Amino acid sequence: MRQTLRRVALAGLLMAPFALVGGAAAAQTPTAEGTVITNTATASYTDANNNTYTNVTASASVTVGFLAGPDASSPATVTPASPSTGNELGFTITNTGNGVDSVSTAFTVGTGVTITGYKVGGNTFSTLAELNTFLAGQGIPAGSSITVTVVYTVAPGRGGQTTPVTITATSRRTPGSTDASTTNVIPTVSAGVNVTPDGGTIQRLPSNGTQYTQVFTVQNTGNASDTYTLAASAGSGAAVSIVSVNGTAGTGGSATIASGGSTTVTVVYTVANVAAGTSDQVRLTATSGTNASTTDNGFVNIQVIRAAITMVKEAFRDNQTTAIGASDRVLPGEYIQYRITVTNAGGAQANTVSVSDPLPAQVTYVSTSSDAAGWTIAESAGTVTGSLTSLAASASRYFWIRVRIK
Amino acid sequence: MKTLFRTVLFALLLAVAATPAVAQQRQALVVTAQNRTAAAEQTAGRKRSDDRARPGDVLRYRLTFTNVTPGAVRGVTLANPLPAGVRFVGGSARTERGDARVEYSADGGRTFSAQPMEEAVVDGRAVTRPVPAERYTHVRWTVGGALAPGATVVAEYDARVSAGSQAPAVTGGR
Repeated sequence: MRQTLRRVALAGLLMAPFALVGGAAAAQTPTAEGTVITNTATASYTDANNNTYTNVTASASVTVGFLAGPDASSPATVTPASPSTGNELGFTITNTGNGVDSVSTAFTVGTGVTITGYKVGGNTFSTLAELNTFLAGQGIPAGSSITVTVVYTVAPGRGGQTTPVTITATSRRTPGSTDASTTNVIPTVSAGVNVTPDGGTIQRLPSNGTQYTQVFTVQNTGNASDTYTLAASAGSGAAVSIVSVNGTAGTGGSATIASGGSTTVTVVYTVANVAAGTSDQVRLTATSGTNASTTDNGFVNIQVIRAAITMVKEAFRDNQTTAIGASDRVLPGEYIQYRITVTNAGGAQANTVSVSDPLPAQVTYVSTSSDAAGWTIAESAGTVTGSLTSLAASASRYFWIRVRIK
Repeated sequence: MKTLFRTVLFALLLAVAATPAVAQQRQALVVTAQNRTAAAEQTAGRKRSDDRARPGDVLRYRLTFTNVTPGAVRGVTLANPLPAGVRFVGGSARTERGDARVEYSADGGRTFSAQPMEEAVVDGRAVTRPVPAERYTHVRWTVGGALAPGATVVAEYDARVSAGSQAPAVTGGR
């Protein structure tokens, strides 16, 4: 140390005439702590007779003390993903003071970012207290620097949102000073969408004027708010026609959804007068306004059903049990019974089923009876009518007409 | 008695005559340094805990020359190379002598002038411009007139202890 001081002092005397010549350096380095600045002046003179006199010299020395100068720096912006973990952000602390120093640090973090740890070189610390305990033992020579790396997580839904992270570095020596540096964490926006349902089958009668409703759910699975373009469409079955989306006529629409949120979209459609068993679909496609290649669709299968009535008329002996076949004979005055059975072979309920049976001239109407309540049966001028308000799919009903052979 | 007196007198004269050069070195020139920044802080109630200079401090150097010869002297020149570690504060050179002129060197003492100039290229054009005062390497006063025996010349200038490029925010400690 003493040798260095002597060299510095000597350098001050010898190098001063040559120092700073032609130098255009704008950046200065501070005079080192412990430097002895020795100022030596020389006086020369002569007298009236121009006699020569020895020059006289004198000096004054000043010793330089310590002045701190921690300087914190960090990138202006970083762009991690959201959500994400294990991100690293480096803060460099440079000692621009004039002697060795160590620092203590503090951090402030905005919403959306959480610090989970710190690293310095190969050392990892889980708390700020541990980091600062370590830094207390790390002397940074004047002009050198140390880098503190912060390990952090980013919350979901932070795409495009700015979170400032600030370090404050304070020198431990006195007279001390402090410096701060802020990095803005701005996660990259990533779009995502999910439309449901994605399947399932619904049976529909041909509309005949009725409008059907299908509700879809559109979910924003991206990390920032997004305005989605909606498009409703039918499948290739030529049965479904789209009427409106969210109440607006046509097939288009839009929805703005916050990250992680969802909204329902109501699609109104009709089914054409097509054969039972026809298959089609109702679809809804949602496309991100942020990223046109981010799109998803939901759909439901439509199966067309109809009612299909078949009828059978059979003749029985009066015991309602013995069938009268083609080779059997009935005798005048004999009582026989006709059984009329209606069956709905279709997939849809039939409404207002009506049977009309004009009896043959060779028989006289006697009476009717039915399999169960629900039939409205009447006879007028030899014609029997029977009606049901409804006949469920696959159901079968019958009634008897008792007649007497003339 | 007379012999003793003469011996003592002769011894005294010899002592004075034998050390004229030393007497001149000891008194002819005195250089002092005063930390103006620390003094201002003390005036403002912030006395420092040590007497060291810090980067950025302004030191006021005072050169006091005294004519210790029995006769008048002429051509008194006070020359001061700027020591390493400090930079000249422009416009700070002063003396109470009306017949003293101050000159500076920015080329290590080879040439002196009232305002050293340099060649430079600015925006692609060659220009001649004053050298910034902080790059002066020497300051020199030359007294025009004669100095009577016992008369003094006092010259002063300020120099700033080199600091870093950025000024830190001082937090504490004196």
